[in-house]
Amino acid sequence: MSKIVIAGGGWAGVSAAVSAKKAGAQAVLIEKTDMLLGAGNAGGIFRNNGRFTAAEEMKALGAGELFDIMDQCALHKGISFPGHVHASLYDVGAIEPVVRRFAEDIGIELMMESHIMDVRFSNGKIHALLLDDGTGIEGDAFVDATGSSGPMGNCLRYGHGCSMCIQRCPTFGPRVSLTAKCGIRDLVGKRADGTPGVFSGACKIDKESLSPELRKQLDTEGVAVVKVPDEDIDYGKLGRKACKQYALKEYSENIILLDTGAAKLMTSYYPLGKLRKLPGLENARYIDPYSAGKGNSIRYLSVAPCLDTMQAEGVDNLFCGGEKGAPLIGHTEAVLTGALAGHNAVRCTENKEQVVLPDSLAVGLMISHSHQNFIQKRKYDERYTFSGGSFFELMKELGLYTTDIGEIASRVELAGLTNMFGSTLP
Amino acid sequence: MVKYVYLKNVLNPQNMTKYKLEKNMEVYSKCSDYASDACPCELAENGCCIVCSMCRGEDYCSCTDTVSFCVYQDLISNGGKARPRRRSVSCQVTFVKQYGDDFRFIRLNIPDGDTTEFKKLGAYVFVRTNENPHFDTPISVLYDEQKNNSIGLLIQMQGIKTNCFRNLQKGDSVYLRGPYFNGIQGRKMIAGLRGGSAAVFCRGIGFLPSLGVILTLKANGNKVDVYLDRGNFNTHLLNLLSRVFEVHLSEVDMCDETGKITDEMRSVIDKHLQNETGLLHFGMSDYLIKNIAEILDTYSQIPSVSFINNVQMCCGEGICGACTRNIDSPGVVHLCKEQLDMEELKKIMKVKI
Repeated sequence: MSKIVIAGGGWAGVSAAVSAKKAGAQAVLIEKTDMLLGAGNAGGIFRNNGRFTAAEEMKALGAGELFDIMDQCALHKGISFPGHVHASLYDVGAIEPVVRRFAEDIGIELMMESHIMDVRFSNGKIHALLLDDGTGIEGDAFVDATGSSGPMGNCLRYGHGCSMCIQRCPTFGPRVSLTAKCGIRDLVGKRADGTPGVFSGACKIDKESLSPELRKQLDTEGVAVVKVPDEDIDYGKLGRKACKQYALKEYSENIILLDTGAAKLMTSYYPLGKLRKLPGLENARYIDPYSAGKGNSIRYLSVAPCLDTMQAEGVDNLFCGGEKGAPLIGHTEAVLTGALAGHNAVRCTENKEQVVLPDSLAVGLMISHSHQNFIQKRKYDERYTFSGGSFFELMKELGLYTTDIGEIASRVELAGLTNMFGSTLP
Repeated sequence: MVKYVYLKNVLNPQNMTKYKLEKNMEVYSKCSDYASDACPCELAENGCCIVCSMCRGEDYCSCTDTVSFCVYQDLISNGGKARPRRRSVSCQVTFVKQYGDDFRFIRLNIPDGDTTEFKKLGAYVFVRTNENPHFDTPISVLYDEQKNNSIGLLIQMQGIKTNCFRNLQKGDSVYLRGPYFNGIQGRKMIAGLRGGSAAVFCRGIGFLPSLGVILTLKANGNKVDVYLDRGNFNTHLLNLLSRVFEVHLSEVDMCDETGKITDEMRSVIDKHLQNETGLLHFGMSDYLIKNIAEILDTYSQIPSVSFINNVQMCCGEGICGACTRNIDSPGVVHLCKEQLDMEELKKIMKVKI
């Protein structure tokens, strides 16, 4: 049995471990913090716009378990908010233990609070990942799902300092890029004005600190829109934001709150003094990042050049998932790239041909389109998501966007990939 | 026996808080000053930080330290300026005792009373008796005595810088600068070994700076075998120290007159490599360390290695260049401040002398 070692326990890392396990390999998942899901503990939005299509395609491809968990933990389903329809919101406070139990149940070996410092690399292959205590974790193939946010130095130079986000670098240590340790130069996402890195796009407010009316509205409808006074509107912030799908003028003119267990505020950061001027938010306080009144984490500073199989260019047995593998935004996108990276890692160790998802599927087009633009055409100021921005327009243009589950299943069937991720490699 | 009791009064373990290393948040990094009161230092201010890529002027953060003290953040929040460099302070000598012709034990009163930093692994200080700031003597800290706000130093007087301690009397003052922490190479490996086994090889005066290593290893629940070659060192003093610090010594002749490693020593090293000992520590001259490195090189796998830092130290801040060595990494390494990883340790052992 081949052994796949996955670095990073966010949505992409978990997805890679699940698909590697299902393909018949031993999966070891190394996570630096004490919780899985990483930024997924601060997210919560899925199935909005084209993400519905993508989620259903992944289910038809046989990688539906994590979407089932998201559905199971959903607080609201089928809600609409500016620019987005049929969105579901999972409970960020409840989902992590469910995912962890699932991972343990299917036999993924979790190494929590284990900080990777370096790689043992020679002749174009990684032989082991080295932890800070000097332990070497050997494997046949590796997945880099370490993400692209932080470490603190980056958040300070390109943001407004460590905002004490869910990554908790000061406690658990900084993110270490495995691809960079193999000598691959990280590609860097940029803002509209060319500055490297972009701010994470949302923060969370303690729901208990909102007025009873606002809280009730969130509980029942899942969304609340509060008008921002004209003097406080800042359109410039949109260009600095990671999430293209929320870089709409409505998101500057209004405060948009979504109920993901906490009140998710759809802006990178917002000064607390100004926030408290808004009706219903007079006592508001941030819970993630704790310093969301001043800043947020900085991302996309560490994207690796990858093939469409998710293999890192220049390393034979390293595959990339999540933000490391392509400049993609969101959990749906992370689960997609993670699953493909994990699956191809197993194929690589068993000398089988690696899989590229076809452009006839939205999930295949997402990988090839983002790689083509970011890596080949060097368009570093663009990020991609099924839920908005240029890619959602492209999906609509090509007729790939649909909420018809039957059509999606036949589309995957036509590509000959039904249950590809779900079955053990022959 | 009478002398033993007398010395025990001087070096009374009951009074000492030495090396009580719990699983505290001591950070062992590439730089021995990382996250200390002196960090960020002038190296960071001037774009030469050992740890931080951002302070070195690179575009992106490539920090790997497990417990992140962000040097860059502290530098920026300090207005881009380094924290104050360690300054010499005048300390009163509260006790002096001569051992043989060449050794003097002195106990110094620390003015601010805080001796906690002095008990860190690899701690050393610069001392001098005169006003001239250019001729500081680096001495490893033998122990700290928190109760009496004191530290103890054992000085071998053998040259122009150390001879000034010969006439030092109780009540005199000396200038002390420190502590610095790079007296031992391999601090992280030593502190990281818990519940394992280690072998410590010392020759002559190399036993003194290695005492801290032995006590740290023991405090962390390791089985420690200590091998000693007395060389020309004061036998009486070695016996006393081993009894006071409760270190059991096995006598081994490590080298012959020409400096060649003896077969006896080879077999001891071989025994420990066969038994998968977790760490080998060497407290001896660079010449012998180099010879042992050649022996270790013949093995396919060796455990962690640490050794005392014999380099000529001058400023202790990684600036003056007295302690630099050239290994095949970009730039030189400043051994007064920089901790090396295993690969670098092996290389540096070979290039020394």
